[in-house]
Amino acid sequence: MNFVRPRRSMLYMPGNNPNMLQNCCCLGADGLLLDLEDAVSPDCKDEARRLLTYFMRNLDFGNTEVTVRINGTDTPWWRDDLKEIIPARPHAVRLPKCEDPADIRELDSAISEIETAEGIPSGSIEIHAMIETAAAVERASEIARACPRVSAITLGGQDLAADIGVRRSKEGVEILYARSRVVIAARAAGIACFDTVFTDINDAEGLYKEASLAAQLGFTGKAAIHPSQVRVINEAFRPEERAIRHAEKVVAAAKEAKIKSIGVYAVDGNMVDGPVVRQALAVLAQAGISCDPTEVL
Amino acid sequence: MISSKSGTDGKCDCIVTVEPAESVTLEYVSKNSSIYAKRTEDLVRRTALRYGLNGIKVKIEDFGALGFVIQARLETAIERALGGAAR
Repeated sequence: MNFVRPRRSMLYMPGNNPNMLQNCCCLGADGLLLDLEDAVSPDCKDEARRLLTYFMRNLDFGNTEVTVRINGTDTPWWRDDLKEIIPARPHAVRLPKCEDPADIRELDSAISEIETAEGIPSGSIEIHAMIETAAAVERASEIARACPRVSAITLGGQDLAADIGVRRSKEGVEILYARSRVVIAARAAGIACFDTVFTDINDAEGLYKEASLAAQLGFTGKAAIHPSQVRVINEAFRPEERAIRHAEKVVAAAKEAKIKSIGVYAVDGNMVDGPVVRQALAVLAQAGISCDPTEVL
Repeated sequence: MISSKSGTDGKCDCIVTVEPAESVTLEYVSKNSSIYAKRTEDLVRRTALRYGLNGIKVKIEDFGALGFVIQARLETAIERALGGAAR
């Protein structure tokens, strides 16, 4: 069965730390961001790559989405990252500091070569592009549409603030425009978008406020830098009760329609079609309610 | 081949040190050496064979690493010792 995954919290995990990696599946995060970039020093890139491939091949991640943040295309490491990581089949590769759609296309081509060599279905490994500079914000739409493999764009708030020349505040006014721009670019391209990290791991209230704002703006989910942030983010991204009830009605109607082979039907006076059902499945997934899409679509 | 190492002394990790030798030897240091020594020796011999190494001296300081973590660290140490040669 291919359940729609919830994608509220995406937890960063250092790529060279076996203790943290072997416990990462039971921390409640919807997704894991196994990091080969900032969390790994230059002289440890090789051992981190090898370690991650063994973890990906040996751990049962269940329904958790597994993404590997590779090193940027402006570094000497990213191609070696791909050579090791792609054969272990992560759901996606996260590309940091993406400023130009050409970066994405270069990455796409490199992944395709490895997929072909390894007998992995073409295009099955997705790309998440990180928007971390003013220039990248300006080109967010182009980056989101650079190739079909791009399934999400994600905001890197710390680097962006540095690039703009401002200090990050807890209110986040300085990156509000960038947040909205990323959401609109992603939604227009029909892909997901993930908000930046909240760096104060002792401020759960501040995190809840920021995650709630991100949910309100339209982000799919938010990155976490500490396991304690996962529960707070999941709660902030939980859909409203009314939305969950409506989604349940849509899915129930869709199930019945499929059994009876009815093509056109309505819920609460509104016609229901494929996109409406898919949206309902996404709402239920964000609420942590599993549903098999093959029963309704 | 040169001397090389991989891994850390962190929890659930291990430090693998390799150096050239006439035959395959293992020095295994762990709180549970008697339980895991045999398993680790098998792993070292299999890996040396896979890399075509008739002789290698391996020291593993095990801080509670899973078998595949030791495997990953050993492979990295060997590849660093061989100058980045592919598996």
